[in-house]
Amino acid sequence: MVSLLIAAFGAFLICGAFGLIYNIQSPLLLALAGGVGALGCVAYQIVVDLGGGEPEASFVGAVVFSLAAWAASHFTHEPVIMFQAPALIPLVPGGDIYRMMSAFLVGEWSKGLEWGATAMAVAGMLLFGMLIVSAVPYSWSHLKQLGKDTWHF
Amino acid sequence: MATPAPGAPSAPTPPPNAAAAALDESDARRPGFSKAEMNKQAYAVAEAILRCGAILLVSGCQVRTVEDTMVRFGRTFQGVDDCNAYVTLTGIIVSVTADDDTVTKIVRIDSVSHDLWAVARTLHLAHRCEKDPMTPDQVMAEIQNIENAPLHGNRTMALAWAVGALGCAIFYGYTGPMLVTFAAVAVGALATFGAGLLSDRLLPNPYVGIIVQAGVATGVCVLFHRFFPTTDMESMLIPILMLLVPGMTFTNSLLDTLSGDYLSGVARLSVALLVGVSIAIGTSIVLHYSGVLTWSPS
Repeated sequence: MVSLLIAAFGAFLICGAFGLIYNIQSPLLLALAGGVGALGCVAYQIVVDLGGGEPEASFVGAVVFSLAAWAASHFTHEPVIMFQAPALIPLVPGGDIYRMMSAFLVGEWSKGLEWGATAMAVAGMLLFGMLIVSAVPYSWSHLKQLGKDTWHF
Repeated sequence: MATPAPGAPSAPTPPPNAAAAALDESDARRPGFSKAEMNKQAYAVAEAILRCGAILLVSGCQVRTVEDTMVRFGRTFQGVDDCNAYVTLTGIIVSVTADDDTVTKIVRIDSVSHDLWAVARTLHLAHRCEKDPMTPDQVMAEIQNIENAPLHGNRTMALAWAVGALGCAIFYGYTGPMLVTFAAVAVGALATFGAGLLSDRLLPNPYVGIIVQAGVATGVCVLFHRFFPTTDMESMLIPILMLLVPGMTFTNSLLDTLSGDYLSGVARLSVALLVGVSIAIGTSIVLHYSGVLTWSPS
């Protein structure tokens, strides 16, 4: 529980700070961006604590923060990107890329390739999670339109 | 002009002035607009849409979103028959058709950053115009307000960098003494931000600036490690490097590629790779010459 709270606090700071760097002007939106990111990172941490790997945890984290971003966007009438962009940052595999580079520098090529493959897998899973969530409202609105056109309701 | 049949009443004689003829012809189809005014309208609309698209692209929006917004935006203007936009990472082409005349404008995009506030305000403006159409002059006034909106000052940005790096240190965990690690992270982030400000003004190329920033970040961490040997280099350095890592650029490159904008996707991926390599070069130079990590050719 304590580790989850620490992860949430750290993620809130990261996402709030990146919201400032990305020029979000409103304190409420900054706090919401921080909260969305914290939710995603808590989900990530839960999967890691349950024994899941980095890619699986990143997928779950991406789904959770994307859902939270859509909810925040609906609540504040601001674009989804305003909450998704800062929330993505803590889950980006920067550490894996640094370890890959360090391994290549000292000549440990196989270890470096392992870190590189993990980084690519994590990035792919993040993207997959975001795409899955963004596909739902798109498909829902098209399904409603299909229903209206076919059965006239 | 068709010849009237014999015995049929003769057609009214056309006015002698061709410009007046164009005026009359146009008035029948577009009350209140002459042909010359339609051309001027098309130019103004094209300029407004182009500026809107440029703000979105420069602020880090996806290419598909920029194109869709520009096209929907353009079609809200009175008198516009059609509007098309082609967007890549380095330029935007827009064409506006009004009264059978097509106006095409192009703009070169030099660099892309991330400004979510500008993106939000521009998307709001486009949405407002769909509900309640505005004139090009009104839209240009709004666009100028968006372009001139104040950014956060350097002190706020420096604080954001320090807090962001500390947040990374807390989230990723650390090894070693807490206070010294956090101090190293905060000082390193501030030094990296300062190096970024200087390199923006003094260096010709942004990637050389990133090499310098990565080098400064690594140098600060190496210094702290020298004075406090119980600290862990990774725990100090990775949180600071996370501020330089092009996470959003890389994600947008994949999103652009999946949307079918292959050119922009590959261009953004190149940017992300160049930034990554620049960080690696800057870090490895300092790590090698400080003796922390030695290059091995094998």
